[in-house]
Amino acid sequence: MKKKLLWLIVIVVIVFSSMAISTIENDKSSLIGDVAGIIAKPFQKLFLGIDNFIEYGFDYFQDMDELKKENAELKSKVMLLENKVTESEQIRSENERLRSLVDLGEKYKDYDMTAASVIAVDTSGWYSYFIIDKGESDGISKNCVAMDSGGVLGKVDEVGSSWARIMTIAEPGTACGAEVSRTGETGIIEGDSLLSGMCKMTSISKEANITPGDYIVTSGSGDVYPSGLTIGRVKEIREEDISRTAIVEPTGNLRSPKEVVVITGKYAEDTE
Amino acid sequence: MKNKTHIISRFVLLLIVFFFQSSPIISRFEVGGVTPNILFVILFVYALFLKDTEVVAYTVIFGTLADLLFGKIYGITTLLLLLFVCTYIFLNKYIYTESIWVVFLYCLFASWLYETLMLFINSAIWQETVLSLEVMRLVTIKCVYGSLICLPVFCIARKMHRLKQEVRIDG
Repeated sequence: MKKKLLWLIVIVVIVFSSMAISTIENDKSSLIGDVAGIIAKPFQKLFLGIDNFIEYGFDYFQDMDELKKENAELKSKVMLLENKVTESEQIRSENERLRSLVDLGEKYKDYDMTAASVIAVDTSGWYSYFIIDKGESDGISKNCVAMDSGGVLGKVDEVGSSWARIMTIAEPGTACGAEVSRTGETGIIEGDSLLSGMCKMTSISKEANITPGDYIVTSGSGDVYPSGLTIGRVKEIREEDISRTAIVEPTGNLRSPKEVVVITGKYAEDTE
Repeated sequence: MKNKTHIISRFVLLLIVFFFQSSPIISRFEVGGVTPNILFVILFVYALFLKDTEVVAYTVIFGTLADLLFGKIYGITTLLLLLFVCTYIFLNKYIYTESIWVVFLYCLFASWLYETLMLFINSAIWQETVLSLEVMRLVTIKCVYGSLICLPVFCIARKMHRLKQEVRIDG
């Protein structure tokens, strides 16, 4: 019994020591952390493969059903689809969407980007972190921005030689300059993972022109997030004493991210 | 030899559960916006039936792994899990663990306490307010979900434990 107690005390002391050491800020992951990440990576990729297989299976059966329904619907909608006003509306909005994508690609053509797969998500289930399968050897460093087709997901918090951990924008401790896409009203986006994957925009003035449904984008202030990246949409606005707070639902897939793009290297100042 | 095989198989099970819980697959089992903490449930069941040294070893290994991969400060998950496992080992003598409903309530209370403590610790690091109805609703859903998973796991573990005891008596 005494021997067991002694071992327990030794373990607790070692854990407390590692807690103290880990509070020292580093740009890179510690050696033991890097080794743990490298060892864990093949297991995480295995489960990613299983998840992709399950998704492929679901999609296959879903597609079959949907194709049959779609076939029947299309036959009855042939005459309607020839309506020129609807067609021109579709072409116009598609054009606008594609133009904005081209603009985004043009705007960031000087940035180095690297695509990565998400191989693990935070075990606590609060959408705070996820791990990707690219690391320092692929040009990723601390504070690189990660995003998907929906928008910003977060930034690199810890990086190993062949893996990196992304801290999502829903995690407390993340903050970035933001603005309302429609009106330019500024604020600060702060993580609030306790709201189940949402974040909040604070420091909004009482007179600010912001309504639910507005898109929030990065403002570019600070050296981390380039400007113009979509963060989310305003879900709710709360009145505070001297300012307002908006609850923002991220448009990026924080719950089950699959493929992400990481902006690597230093990005140029926005000259527009 | 047989004992070593059992230890290895229990370790492998925990390893599979750990990586399953951290994989994108777990998001398919989301209920009410949360996923269960299966690792906590398995350690809880292990603490009911296995030797204390073995359970403490698993706790330290997997707590450390969780901290290294997902923790901001190494050691918090390990210490918290260690605290709970040591408490289970101490309380097991006094709690009637033959009834699955007692085990369900025991697991529910323990996981609720664990999740709440984890939130408090994280909020102390980031100096954020924790308590809100929305947060407690999510924590409750998470704990009930985990405790429901605990029921079949406990039944299987109890069955295996009884079979092992019968083999030992017969042998």
